[in-house]
Amino acid sequence: MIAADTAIESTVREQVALASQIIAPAWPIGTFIATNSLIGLHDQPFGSALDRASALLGSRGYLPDGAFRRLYRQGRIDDADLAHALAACDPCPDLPPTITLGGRKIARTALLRLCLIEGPGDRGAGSDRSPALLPAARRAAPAPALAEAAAAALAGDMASVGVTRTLGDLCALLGATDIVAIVNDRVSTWCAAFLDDGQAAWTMPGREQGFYACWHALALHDLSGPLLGIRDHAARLRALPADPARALSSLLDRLAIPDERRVGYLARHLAQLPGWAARIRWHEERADPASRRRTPIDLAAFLAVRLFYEATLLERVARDDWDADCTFPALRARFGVAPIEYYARRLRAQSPSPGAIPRSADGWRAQARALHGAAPEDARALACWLADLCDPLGVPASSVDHMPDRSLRPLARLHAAFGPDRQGAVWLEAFEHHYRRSLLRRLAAHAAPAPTEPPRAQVVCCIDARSEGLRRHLEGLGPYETFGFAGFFGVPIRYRPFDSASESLRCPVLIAPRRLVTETPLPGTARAVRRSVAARRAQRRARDLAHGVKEGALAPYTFVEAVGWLYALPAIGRTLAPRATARAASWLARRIAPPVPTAPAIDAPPAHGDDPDRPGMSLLEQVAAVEGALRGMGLTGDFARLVLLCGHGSETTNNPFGAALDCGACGGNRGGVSARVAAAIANRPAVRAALRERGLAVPSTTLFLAGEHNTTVDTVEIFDVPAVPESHRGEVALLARDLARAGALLAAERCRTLPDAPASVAATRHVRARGADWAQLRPEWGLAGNAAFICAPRARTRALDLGCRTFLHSYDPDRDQDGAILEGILTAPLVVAHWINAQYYLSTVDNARFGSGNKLLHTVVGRSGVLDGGRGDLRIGLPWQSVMDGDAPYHEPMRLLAIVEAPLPRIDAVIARHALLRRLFDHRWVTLVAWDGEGAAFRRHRGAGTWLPALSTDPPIAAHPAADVAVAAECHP
Amino acid sequence: MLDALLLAGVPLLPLSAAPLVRFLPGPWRPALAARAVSLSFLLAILIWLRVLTGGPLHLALVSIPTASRPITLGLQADRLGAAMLLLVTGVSSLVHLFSARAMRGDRHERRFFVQLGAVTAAVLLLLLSDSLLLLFLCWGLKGLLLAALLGHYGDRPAARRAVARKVAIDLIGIAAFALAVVATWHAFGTLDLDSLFAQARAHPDVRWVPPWLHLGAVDLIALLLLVAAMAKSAQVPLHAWLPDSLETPTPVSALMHAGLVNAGGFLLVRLSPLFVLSPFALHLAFAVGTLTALHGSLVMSTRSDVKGMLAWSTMSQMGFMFMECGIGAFALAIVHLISHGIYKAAHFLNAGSAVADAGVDRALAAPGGAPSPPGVAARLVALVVPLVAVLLVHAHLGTMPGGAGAPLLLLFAWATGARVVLRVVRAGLARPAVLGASVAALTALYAAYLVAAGRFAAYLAPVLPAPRLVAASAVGTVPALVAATLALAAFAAPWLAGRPPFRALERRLYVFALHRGYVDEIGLLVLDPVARLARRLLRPVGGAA
Repeated sequence: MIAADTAIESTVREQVALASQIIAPAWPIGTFIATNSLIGLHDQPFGSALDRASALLGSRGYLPDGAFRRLYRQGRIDDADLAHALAACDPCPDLPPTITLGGRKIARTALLRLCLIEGPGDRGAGSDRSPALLPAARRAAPAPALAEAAAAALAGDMASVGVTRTLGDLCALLGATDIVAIVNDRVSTWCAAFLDDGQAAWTMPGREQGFYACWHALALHDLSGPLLGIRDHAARLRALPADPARALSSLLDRLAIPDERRVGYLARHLAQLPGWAARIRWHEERADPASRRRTPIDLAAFLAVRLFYEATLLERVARDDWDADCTFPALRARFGVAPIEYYARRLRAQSPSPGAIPRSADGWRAQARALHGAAPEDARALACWLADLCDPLGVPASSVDHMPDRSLRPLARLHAAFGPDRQGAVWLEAFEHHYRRSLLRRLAAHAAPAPTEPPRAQVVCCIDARSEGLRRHLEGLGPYETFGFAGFFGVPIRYRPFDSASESLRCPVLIAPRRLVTETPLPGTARAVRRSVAARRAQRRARDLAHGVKEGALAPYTFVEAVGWLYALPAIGRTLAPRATARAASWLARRIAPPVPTAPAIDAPPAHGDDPDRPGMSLLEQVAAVEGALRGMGLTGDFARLVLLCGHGSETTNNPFGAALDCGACGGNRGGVSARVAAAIANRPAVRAALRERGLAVPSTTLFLAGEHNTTVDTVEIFDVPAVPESHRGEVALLARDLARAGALLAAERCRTLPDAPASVAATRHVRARGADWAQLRPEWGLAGNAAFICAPRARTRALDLGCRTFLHSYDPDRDQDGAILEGILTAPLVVAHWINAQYYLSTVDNARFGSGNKLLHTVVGRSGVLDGGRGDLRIGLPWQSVMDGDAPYHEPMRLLAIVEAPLPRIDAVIARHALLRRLFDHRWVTLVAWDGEGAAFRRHRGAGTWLPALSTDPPIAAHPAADVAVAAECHP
Repeated sequence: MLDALLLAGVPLLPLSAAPLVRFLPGPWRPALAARAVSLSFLLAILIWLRVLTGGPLHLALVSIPTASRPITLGLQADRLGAAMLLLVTGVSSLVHLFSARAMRGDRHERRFFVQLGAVTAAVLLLLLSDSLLLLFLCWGLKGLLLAALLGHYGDRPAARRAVARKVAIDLIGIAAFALAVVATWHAFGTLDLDSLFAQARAHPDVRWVPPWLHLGAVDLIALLLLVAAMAKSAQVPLHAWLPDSLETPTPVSALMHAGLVNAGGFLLVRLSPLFVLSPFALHLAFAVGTLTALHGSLVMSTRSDVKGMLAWSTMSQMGFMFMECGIGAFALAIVHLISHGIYKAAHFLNAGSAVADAGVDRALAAPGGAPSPPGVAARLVALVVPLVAVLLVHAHLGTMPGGAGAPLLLLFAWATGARVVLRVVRAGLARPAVLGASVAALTALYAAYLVAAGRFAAYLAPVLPAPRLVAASAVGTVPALVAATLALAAFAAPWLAGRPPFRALERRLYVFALHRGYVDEIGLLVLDPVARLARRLLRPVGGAA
């Protein structure tokens, strides 16, 4: 018995795990991590993953055709790109080479191109001439008879249950109560309460027992069930098994969902509330142990609660509306004998005025006939499309009418395969081709002038696309050498700031850091420390008091009445003079608690021995981290006297999505801390000595500095300047001055694209006010625009304006003969860049499904996410304001183009070792281009170890037996 | 002449900017709208100064001849209106300036500023109305314009539902108001506010309603107006629109919760000379207010989203304002309304800071986790000391405005003080010096507040009913203390919760509050059939056409 239960549990949990592929873990918004929302579908080609998402989530996968056409008119896509795209992924392979339209012969390619750029059918212009074409269209796409249509609808819908639909969806489809909406509303309410991280004054009682048990105990008292017409609500609850997985299994049994359809059924359930499901998945897999203990929740419990509501509501609907039991076979049988009634119900749900519900089979038949006749048919859309197509060709509508069926049929096929909103894949291919071609051409033609003097300083920036601008401007100002490397500088740590109770993880989420580094005050600062600690204690008490007074049952009234008006002062200041107000506030904060000079405590205290979670890093770990970073970025010789490790972070106010602008390589935190720790390690004599032993001699005159690029205001702060030795002071001052000038140039450049920004003269002042403005929903554009990842020496890109669109990772192929460094780059930074790119792509093409929608509607829920207007699903992904400017996308959504300078065999070897990379490249989630730096030839990866010339000017490659297969698989239409 | 310009200018500026905004090119639109409203704020300051030095300003607009006597409509700024003008133009300027940046790129930016200007103008006209009829017209107009703003994202079903509920409940209020206007005309033959007050005072026992109702005309009118005020200020049971009202851009929420929901309280105070003639209406206002305050704070305590918390807190604060009106503390109600308006606007506009705030709180968390709850002795101290302090302050300054019901306000002040002292104790600062200092600071703050409130009451005295009249009809000590007991129970609930005998009760109450008192489900049960019925009734009309 127990064994059987365990087996049931593990089966259900397995099904839940498979179903959860449709969602990706969603991090709390305070440490926003850009992820590919479709990461679970990596094992499918890009196009079919989007199709799967579209079937389950109802999402769109590409920009609307109209948006692409706008890009075409702006010259962002040209005819050569279209020709390439049509050749690369043929939308309609069985189309003959010439097509007849109303007596005119048109070449197949010309017709396809016309379909793309004229966009017939979605302009609606042809609708007034379409009646003339309707007879022809009807011949091309004959409407099925009633009986056939009914049988097809019934069979199709029943086949979709457990694949893309739940039984709840069926209710909405048939015009019964919208069960899905009610279930979503119930479950969202419970999730928002359960996953609250300290917002509500009254915490959900019993959370520590886990979501399912807690819900079960509380739902017994919930009157909304009975109010919604659920009979015996409490009794049904009591009958549920105590274990969520078994409850889920019994509920699936109750609905009699066949075993082979259960994964799909659960996947669709998750897709009905993807935000909360994604957050729960994060909780299950990624949350820290403390919060897992505080609020234990998993997807099985979430699904069990969902299915409870679905089953009970469905029972009511099935009984009252359809006079049937609520199991899937019963419903299938119920409608299997009455397909006409089924079809009529389905049409009624879409009809604006369906009339009274019939009472007899004849009544249903009559209604089905009436509605079937009035229903929009495919022929109408086809007629519209034909009318729009005839227009630019100058074909009179009447001539189409005389066409024989034989020549009409290809047109119908073309319409079905390539009609309105079915062109995204081709457009995307063309769009990417345009960017790829122009970038590769510029790279090929570019020859950076060799530096004439040794570098004054070396600056290592994060690979973040925004660093590209800073590096370019800095290099233009003097003999500076810059590098790109992941912004945690190879030192994965947990970090605790001075006098703080909370830790943060400072590394990419692919790594789980164990070493704790604590910020500690420098010796001789005891007075400042005392003052700072006292000030923080006072601050804590003041906040505690304010919370207490605002949240008490009786306290807020007199409080608000007596002191509420005082809030006018900050409100006016922050609206009229945001920058001055922010400055005044920080001045006040510094007066109350002057900043304490600190340094990170890196060394492991000897007492802890070999505890794997001990604080601090051993010397060995420190040396390994620095060596890995220096070798990884290719900085192994010719050290300048100054090496600045420059992290980055943003500075915004009143912005729940602030962390999305911070450094992803530092776990969604500001990057200065990691730079500081890495520089401190690199400056230690013991580390230098150990490095020398390992053949990496850093001269004793070289000083490592830490800095942080504030991407909102484009300033660079250099840390620990007082600790700089006298010998380097002057050079540090010079570097600081040039960084400030580079920042000002970058600010002026950015002001050209920021909405409502002035001309370049006032740029620096403007970006500062922007960051401090509580009304500004677009403080900066973040990583919007990102499109490529270049893994090559800086010499290849120096002095080339890449428009802050590229992730730049330094890589010297000559010093990596075994490919170990390349392996590290392709499996970590490239993957992170892909996540960011995919996040921006998906948030742009369908902001409503993959993005988090409009910031103006958001309310922060549970202090860790946002909702629209206070209810419903958790919104994950990037907000509308981060990727759109008005109705037009600001971000140009295209898949990441990875350009890697390395010999083909080396790249092939790395790919062969990692299934993850094969999935990314073979399935076209990332376009990989190998660059043979010498001859400037580019090779595009085509899957299964085959490569193609990436530019038409590149020399051809010897034929490969697998090439044909690869061509067919390249583009999923 | 100058006065007339000032009076007309305040509502006209935002109103006239609205159609201009329609035709201006992009960047000018928000700037123009914001400037017009800011200018209106400056005019409001001038008006306030004129009223302070020279008495009420008046501007006659139209005179509608009728069989008996003409109905005159005009604008009038008295001490109450001038103070309210400052609040509304101030908050609206802030909201306009905020929106000018925040609404950038919105699909309906233009329409948004038109509606925002129009709704501001409607509220300003409402504040300046000198006649019940004009008051009514602005009342209705404001409700409809606000509904339009609520439907800014009309492509969202939730927003459409919010509009539907708002309009449905507004219609109840508008209908009640309309009946009140008709009843007033029939009973007193005037709609002009001042003469209405004089008439009603002179003939308090006019009966116009059927005798079996046992209601005087004044009672009936006051009751109808109370219903209108309840609908506007989200009082139980006419609060069903409030939870949905967050389906709108943040700045609209700020304006709504700071300026627009206050209209109910303003109506009660504006017509307070009438309300004091109807003890029944005042008592009912008090009861409704108490219920609303309790319900609002109960639901608020379970909200885990920032805006939801703010919205339900608005509801409970509106309830408190009604309680103040019920005990006759009309001046305090206005203090509350202004102070709360500013407080709530600032909080709504700042709602995005919650994530950063959470980070600060986490960093600041006390090293040893949550502090242990204080012992019995500390609790006693925390309860008794503020009580003594509050009583001493009152003994020294004389009682609060609010007559016999004033003990209730004392109770709330005491509760606030006790809460503060409890927190101080909980923070481990139970040293006599710290406690003494915090109690002294609290006492001083409270005394300052009382003095200020007293000054404001004196400022408003000319437009409020005489204290004698207030004392005769406002809620007295006993009902106030009953309400106080109820409130105390709410205060004690956190202590009782979690103890075994109360666990089931706690769960029940929690689920009730979490589901917002089932307002959605009841809305579904009530509104859905109504909507279906309406559709069925309308269908033949549509079919015939």
